[in-house]
Amino acid sequence: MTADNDAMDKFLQRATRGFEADSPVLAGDDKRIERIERAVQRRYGKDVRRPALRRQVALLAACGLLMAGAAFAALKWADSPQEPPGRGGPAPVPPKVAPVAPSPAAVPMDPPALAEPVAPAPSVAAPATSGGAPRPAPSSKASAETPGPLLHAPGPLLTAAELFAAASRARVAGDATKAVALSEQLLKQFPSSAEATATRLSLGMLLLQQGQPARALAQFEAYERTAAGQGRAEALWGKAQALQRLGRAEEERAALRELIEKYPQAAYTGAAKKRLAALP
Amino acid sequence: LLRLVRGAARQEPERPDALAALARSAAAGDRAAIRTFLVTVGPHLLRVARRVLGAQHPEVDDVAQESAFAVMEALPDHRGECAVLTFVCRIAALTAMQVLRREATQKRAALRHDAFDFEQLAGGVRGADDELAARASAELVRQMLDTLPLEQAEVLALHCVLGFSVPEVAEASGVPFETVRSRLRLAKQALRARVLADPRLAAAMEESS
Repeated sequence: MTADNDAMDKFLQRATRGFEADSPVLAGDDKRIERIERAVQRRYGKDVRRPALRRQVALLAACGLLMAGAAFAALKWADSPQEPPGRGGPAPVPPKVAPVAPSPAAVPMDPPALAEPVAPAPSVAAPATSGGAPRPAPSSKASAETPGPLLHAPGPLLTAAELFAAASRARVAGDATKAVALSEQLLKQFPSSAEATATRLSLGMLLLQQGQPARALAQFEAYERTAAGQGRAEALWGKAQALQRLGRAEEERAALRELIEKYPQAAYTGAAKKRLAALP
Repeated sequence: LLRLVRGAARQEPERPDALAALARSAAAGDRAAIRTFLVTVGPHLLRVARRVLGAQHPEVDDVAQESAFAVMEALPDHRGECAVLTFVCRIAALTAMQVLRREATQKRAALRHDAFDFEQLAGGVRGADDELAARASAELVRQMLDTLPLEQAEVLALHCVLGFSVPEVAEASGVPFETVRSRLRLAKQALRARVLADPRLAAAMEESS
């Protein structure tokens, strides 16, 4: 009976190799995912931020009107001692609006800020991006925090979600350099966002491919510290590979053992066992 | 038993799920969150669909999309019993299995089963083409997903097709660890019976051991 079970287990292991071979990443997958995303957006997407934005704009407009009205009344009151209005006289000349200084609150109402559908007005304190990562306001402080020029920036600044999506697109398209740059930008601008955590794995793999094992190792270790779930098996495998390239055999062995013990069914476990056996 | 359960609990220490916050925003309909969420889980939806159906199956794309819809419907009910990615993969596996079962009902004992090339399995085991044999073995497991009771098929799919550990299957399915083990054992027994019923498969399995 035990022999039968062993035979069945071996049969299933072979089947698992078959499943792995049968789930390749194909060239058009990014397009497929975009189609899926569009379909989901049509069915489930809501303009979560737009009503809030519209309320803010309406409030600001009302404030502006009030200010203008107050200025008009003040001008009229100031003029009244010199020119008391007479009955049947000519209509009063409208006051000049130009001298009235615009309210500071009206500044965010410039058209570019409103043209961006997901961007809150700069003075709005509402959470801006998914995953709780705040979208930085386009202020001089935010600019100072952004080390380099923005890649692919269609609007004022990209959200964490937009940066993550752009990095993924670049990676799937095979543009590793751009993917690394976008991922690093995401990590710098939104270090505590969910997108930043998720991007560490792919960034680590890209850095490994680019022959930068030390930087890759830092990403895998950071992912391990913060993330949970199946991605940790991948992070451990990446960590072991980075350590191998750095010649740190003992640490590599420890990472491989942890991977095998904690994730015996992970796709990387077979390769990890082979590597462990090959280690001196 | 307690040791096993506690061991399973210890295996994955409490850590924040990287996708949890994103999933909550996506479930609320936040367009930017939905985009990021699907860019993150989309490759997994495709991978699961390909694993369960086979990469060449014409409905892989449709199944991935249906899975995305199903995930969006189910996300509000996700209470963190398992990692979001595990939750997503399970839904995708169940969606793909529905397609397999629908097909099996429509053309039971017809084209698809007859088209299965047992010679590939036996020939591959003899060393001619190991990858071919692995794919043929995978195809046989797929066939079993059509015929097993749903609970066993789900466990077989999550464990053997997607590579989840038994504790992960238990978390994702919301059933006790021992129940998962029992279902897996029954599924393997059924698979073994299926293999032994065919002399060529039986010979292939013997050679593989």
